[in-house]
Amino acid sequence: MANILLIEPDRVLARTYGSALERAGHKVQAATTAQSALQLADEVCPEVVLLELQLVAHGGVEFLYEFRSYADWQSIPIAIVSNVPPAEFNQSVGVLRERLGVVAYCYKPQTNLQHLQRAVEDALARQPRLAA
Amino acid sequence: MQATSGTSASNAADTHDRLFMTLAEELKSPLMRIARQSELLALGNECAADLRSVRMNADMTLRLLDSYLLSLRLAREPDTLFAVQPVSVGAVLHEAQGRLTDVAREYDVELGLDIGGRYEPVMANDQALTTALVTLGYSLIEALPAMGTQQLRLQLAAHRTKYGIVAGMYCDADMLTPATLRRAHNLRGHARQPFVDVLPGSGAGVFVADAILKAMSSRLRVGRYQRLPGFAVTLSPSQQLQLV
Repeated sequence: MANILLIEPDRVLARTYGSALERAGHKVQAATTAQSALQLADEVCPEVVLLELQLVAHGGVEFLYEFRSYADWQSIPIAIVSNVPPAEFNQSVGVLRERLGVVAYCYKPQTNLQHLQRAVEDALARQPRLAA
Repeated sequence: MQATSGTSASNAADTHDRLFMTLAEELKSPLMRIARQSELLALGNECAADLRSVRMNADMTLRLLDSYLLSLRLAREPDTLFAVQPVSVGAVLHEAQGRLTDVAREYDVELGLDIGGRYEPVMANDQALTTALVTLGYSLIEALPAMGTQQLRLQLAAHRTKYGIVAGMYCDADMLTPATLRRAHNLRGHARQPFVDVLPGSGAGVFVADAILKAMSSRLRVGRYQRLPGFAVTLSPSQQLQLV
């Protein structure tokens, strides 16, 4: 069982992901914006973060930089679960992995609930190593 | 002359392509919700609320598609298909509120309706105006929780200005300005999130609503009602009925 911080702007989808992950024994806290996610992270001390990149105002990448700027949160694995196809990040996959500690990238339309669960289990087993 | 008509045909095709791209991007969201909710139901977490949500998402998808098709038909044959006639703005907003109620409940959004006074009828097509406002409403209701606003409330309202009767939908979204809308129009079909400070998706609902209104010689613009920003359309009062 893990404490999961889910950052998903679609409230209905967040509810569905939350139910599926809770059914697998996890505890899920959901936020719809980057700002509320940072506040929630402070309260719940997540063990894994699931992040959509397409957020309103402050995007997912901004969240990543802000989140990783706190020493306490540098070793928390983050999996991206996004509408943005990974191919669009070809040039910056290295930055996402090495600088921002992203341990997995799930393209949302092709990620079913089983895949999501597996991504969480895999993320829990991996500690990001951030490059200086 | 030929070159001019060729350019205008090419511009129209480009506009349609860009609208189609925003629509295709937007449709992924309700279809994903349906797919994942169905999976959850298959796992045995069946309850009436989940089934209702699946049905509602399917309805939203169908309505967005219908609105898009309506915008195409209006653009091609505006006069033969949809006659403009005197329409009551209050009745249209009331109808739109009724159609948005279930979706608003699903997203915990409170709907308000303020018609304010008695207005003379405006020149519009009843069906097209209602469809445009409902499509816009879906888009805003879906986006409200993602905006991080103080209150999840969508205000439907009508008021009079010197330019005509204004019908609109307003919410606590300070980032929504005329510049936001202008930028989004330029980014439509090119960027995944044209309303980057306001809507998490492609904004197809806003663009489809605008395309329908454009066919009635109106445009969606950003306005304010009781200090709340929102999308609104200004409609001309029926001169004929004013004389009566």
